[in-house]
Parts: sequence; structure tokens; C-alpha cells
Amino acid sequence: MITLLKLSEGQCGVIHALKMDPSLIQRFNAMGLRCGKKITVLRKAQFKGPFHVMIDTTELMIREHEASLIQITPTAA
Amino acid sequence: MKRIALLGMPNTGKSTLFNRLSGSSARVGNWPGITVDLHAVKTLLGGHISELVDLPGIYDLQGLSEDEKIVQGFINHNKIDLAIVVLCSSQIERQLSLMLQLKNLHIPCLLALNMSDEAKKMGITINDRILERKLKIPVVKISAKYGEGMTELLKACAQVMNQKITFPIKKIKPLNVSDQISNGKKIQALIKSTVKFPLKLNDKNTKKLDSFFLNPYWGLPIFFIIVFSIFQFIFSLGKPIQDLMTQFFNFFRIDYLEPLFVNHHSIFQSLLLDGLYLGVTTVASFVPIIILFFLIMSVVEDSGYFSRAAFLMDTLMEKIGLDGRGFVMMLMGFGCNVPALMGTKIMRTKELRLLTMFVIPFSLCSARLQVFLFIISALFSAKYGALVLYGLYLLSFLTIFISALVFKNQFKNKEPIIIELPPYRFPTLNHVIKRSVLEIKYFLTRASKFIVIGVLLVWALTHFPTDVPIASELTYSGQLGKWLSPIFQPIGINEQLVIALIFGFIAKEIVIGALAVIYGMEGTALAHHLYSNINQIQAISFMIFTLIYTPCLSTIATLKNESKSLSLVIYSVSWALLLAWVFSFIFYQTSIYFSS
Repeated sequence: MITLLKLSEGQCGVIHALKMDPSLIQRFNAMGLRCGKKITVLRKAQFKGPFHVMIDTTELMIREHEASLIQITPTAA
Repeated sequence: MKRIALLGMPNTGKSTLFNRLSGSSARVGNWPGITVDLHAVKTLLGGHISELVDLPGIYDLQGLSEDEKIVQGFINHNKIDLAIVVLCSSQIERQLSLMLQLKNLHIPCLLALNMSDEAKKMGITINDRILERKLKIPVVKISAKYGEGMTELLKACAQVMNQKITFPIKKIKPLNVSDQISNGKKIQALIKSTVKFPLKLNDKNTKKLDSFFLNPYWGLPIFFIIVFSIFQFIFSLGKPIQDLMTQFFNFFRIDYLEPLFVNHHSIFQSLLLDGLYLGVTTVASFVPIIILFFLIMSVVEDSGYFSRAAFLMDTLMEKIGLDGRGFVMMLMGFGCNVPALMGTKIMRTKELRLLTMFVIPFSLCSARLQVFLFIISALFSAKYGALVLYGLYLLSFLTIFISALVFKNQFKNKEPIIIELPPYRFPTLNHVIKRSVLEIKYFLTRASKFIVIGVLLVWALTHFPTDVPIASELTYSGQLGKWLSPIFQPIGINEQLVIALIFGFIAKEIVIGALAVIYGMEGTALAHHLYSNINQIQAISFMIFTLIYTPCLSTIATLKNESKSLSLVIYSVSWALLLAWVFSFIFYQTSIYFSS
């Protein structure tokens, strides 16, 4: 199991756990980030910039710090 | 009167629906339990005279973000007869949770599946009849943008409002983990039986546009070209309109107002013309720029590009505690600070927004540019003049970055920065126009009083006592200038210039006019006088101080309105004064040292 940080562009994984305060989990869930969901990294900005990810039909920009809280199991695209 | 609330996640077209239901009469109002203004309208809905309130877009009813607190406050303190929950059809799976949370509070609601056209294009089909039966509330498919499904929506509104309320409405309480899980399971079951997703989603357009706009190499250049074009469009179109208005106001004053009051006592005449009339025209001069600004910015916002700008600039902006959207507003500030401050509304994180508002006043706006151009052309050759102006622009950026860095921890953002990148969408003219109209109403109702009072105050300072020449050293402003001279002398600013700075508090454009009054000469004569009385070092020091010391009265009024925080205003003005003095001091003293 790895964090979202480890995925490179075009790779995807299944969200396994959200390592954060329960109140934050709810916020993440509401934005579509919930356990069991497949998450795809569409692009990463240069110089440790934000991630552009996709879950179902939702696309999000996530900063490195938030990405480091999301644990995933890598899967094939 | 019944109260209807529009609720939904951000980017679901909630405001578009509000505009469609509200006609043109929307206003801004206050409600118990919350401190911000919300858009609302009185309208005939479902056979009742109702008050329709547009609540901010939120992801979750329980959360701790600023917008979530607003919605919680509204729900807990105001009786809601109907909640229209708007959701984006293609994201139904994620957005249903908000609906369930509301339903659990026993608030009478109905579900509007917006952007049903977009979902259809993506190949997503929703069986609204089964969904309606399972949720036990009316479900209507609509397209707020194209006005589809509106009759059905109104019918459903009437149906819900005419129902007897069986359960008392509950207050919002935190959900525990088991509630969360059970809601999650409920949604999964609902989605399984009512929504069909295609095997592969086909939103090819957004993908294509993103690979263009977010390209690692030309994404940023494109961004700067877009921002530059917008900037040029707004301000090169707005400036001539503003100038025309100024001409008209002058003409009106000379040809109509002055003859009208010619028989009145001179001080009364001056109060009306140099005080009140100047205040009113100052307010009015912002109208064209604000309208143009929001016409264009709503297009950028509605199209979905603004979130992409946030993505592009985030790497750099994160370092100074801002985000990409703040960067765009900061750049717009170089045209005019007022609409740029109003535009920060789009940033829904309080701390980020406050910090952005804090730094925008340091942007060298076009009004300040006018002053600098006059002084530079009076005192410098073309070659050095360009260099001086360039230096002032650099200084403007520098003060922005320094202020952001210094205050980044004061406005520490506690929320996760996750920004949705919605699909690219075509904005609708209707929505764009209504947005601008609302913003201008907002500016006029909230800022005008403050600005007029400020202008009157400066008028009193420069016109009393009445038996001495206007704006002379014997007026209160002159005495203030003398009193402040120990502070201004070390930065090379003489007493007359201090009086000009007091005038500049109203608006930077006035500084040159004020100098004309103070020295009793205009145009070329004034330029010559400045040339022979002020040296270049003093002039630059004066310009540095003018750039930083305090934004105009309108900017301060807007800062107060938008932040709803007097302490932010005091903070901002004192910090600017301090910074202005320090920079002028450093410049003036080192220059004197090296030139002697």
C-alpha cells in the first residue's frame, strides 16, 4: 500500500484509507474521495505542484499535502 | 411569506437556476444567524409569495468551512418551507449525500437534477421516477441554463409547499461515523437501482481542452496571454468610458450646478460641489469598470477556466500562502483595486480570501499610474522616466510578496485545498449580465455612504477654517501636515506634499488636482513649479509613498464590505502606512547619502 504521492501521471489506484481527522474525511468524501473508489492521476504540475486527479466523473486539484493523506492500492488503468 | 432555499454543491449551476427563477429583482440581504450577505428575491412560486434565497455552494452540511457555517447558521436560525437541492446530474453519486442530510433534518425538499443535458451527452441515464419513489420526495430533471424542466420544477415546488409538515424540523447535529457509513450505503443502493453509467465516460472535449490549457510547457504562457487580454479589454474599454463620465460630470457641474448655487454662501456652495458632488461622482466613476470586470470575469468563472488558472499557478502561490485564483485577482488589481477585491468572492476559503484582499491594495492601479506619469514627465527625461516607472512596478510586486509572506501565518489556512475542476462549459449571457448587475447594486448600496462621508471629511480638513486660502498651510490639513512633518521630513516629503497625500486618500487621481489647488497653478505651469521646487530624489520618495501608503477610499470601503471586518481594514491601512514610510525612508536616506 502506498500514498497517492507515489503515483505518476496516467496511473491509477483504489483508495484504501484516508489518514486524517474524521471531520476531514467527511469533506473528502463529499468531494468524491472515498474508500473503494478508483482514482486516476491525470497530471502533476512541475516542481512538486498540485495533482490533477479524477474519481468517476469528478476532477479535482489536490496539493501534495492532501495527496499524502490518501492511501491507495495501485491497479491497472 | 414562505421561505425557499436553494442548496447544492459548488459548480452545479445553482446560481443560474436562481437567476432563472428570480427575474431581475434580486437583492442582497441579511439573515439571522449569519454575518454575510446572501442574494435573495421575492417571487411568486408554487402559488405563494415566497422569498427565494441563494445559499452558498457547499460540499457538506456538517463541515467547518466558512460557507458551510453560513448554511448551518441559516438553517438553524431561519424556518425553511422548501429546500430546492440542486445537483449536477453527472455527479449524482457524490452529490446525493447532501440531499440525504437535509432530508434527515425533515426539511421539506425537492431534488433538481440539473445539467441533465450534460449527463445525457456523457451517456449517463438516471431513472428519476424510481429515484423519486425511493427518496419519497419530488425529483425533477432540469437544465437551468437552457430553461428546460422549469414548469415541472414549479409544479413540484407547489406540491411540497402545500404538504402538511408532519415532523418538526431538526437542528443540524454532527454526524457520527455510523451515520456516515449508513448514508454511504443508502446512496450506493440508490445509485445502483436508478443510475446507469456508461462503461467508459466520454467527456472528450474537456480532456482535449485540458491537455491544451494545462500543458506543462505552454499552459502558463497561454494563461498569461489570456489574463493579459482580459486586462487589456476591461481597462482599455473602461478607461475611455470613465474619462467620458468625468468630462460629463465636469460639464454638468460648470454648466448647471455652479449657476444654480451661485447666490448661496460660498462655503455652502463649496460643501455641495467640492464635497458632496465630488463624493457622488467618485462613486459613479467606478460603475463602468465594475460592470465590465464582472461581465468578463463571470465568463471566465462559468467556463471553468478559473479553476485551471488555480492549478497552473498553485505551485508558486502556495509558497506565499495564496492560490492561483488570488494571483489572477492580484493582477486585475493593477487595473483597479476595487473590482479585484470584489472578485475575491470566488475564493471560498476565508483565510486565503482575506490574505488575497490584504495584498491587492499594493497593486499599482491605473489611478496611481496617472499620478506617476505626471510627476515623472515633469521631473525626468524619457530614458530615466521609463526606468523609474519600471522600478515602481517592481516595487509594487515586491510589496505584495513581502506582505503575503509576513502575514501568511496570520491568515493560516486550516482547510484542505482541494479545488474542483469542472467540465468546460459555455457561459450564458443571461447569467453573466445578472451577475454584473447584482455586483454593481451591491457596490452602490454598501460603498457609497462610506465614500461620500470620507470625501466630506477630507473636504472639511482642507476647507476649514474658512477665512484662509483653501488647502493652504493654515487649514486643518496644513496644520496636520506641519504636525506630521517630523515623520515626513526624513523621507523628503514637504508640508505641501503632505496635504496632497491627504487628498490622495479620496482617490489617487485627485493628487495632481490637489497639487494644482495647493500651488495655485495647473498643467505645464504646475509641472515647471514641481521641477524647480522638488528634486528627483524627493519626487521618487513621494511616488514610493503614494504607491504604498494607502489605497483610495473606495478600495478601503470595498475592503470593509467584502471582509466584514473592521480589524482587517485597520490592519491593512496601518501596515501600508508603515511599509510606505520604511521604503521611502530607505530610498531617500540611501540616495541622499550616495549623492552627497
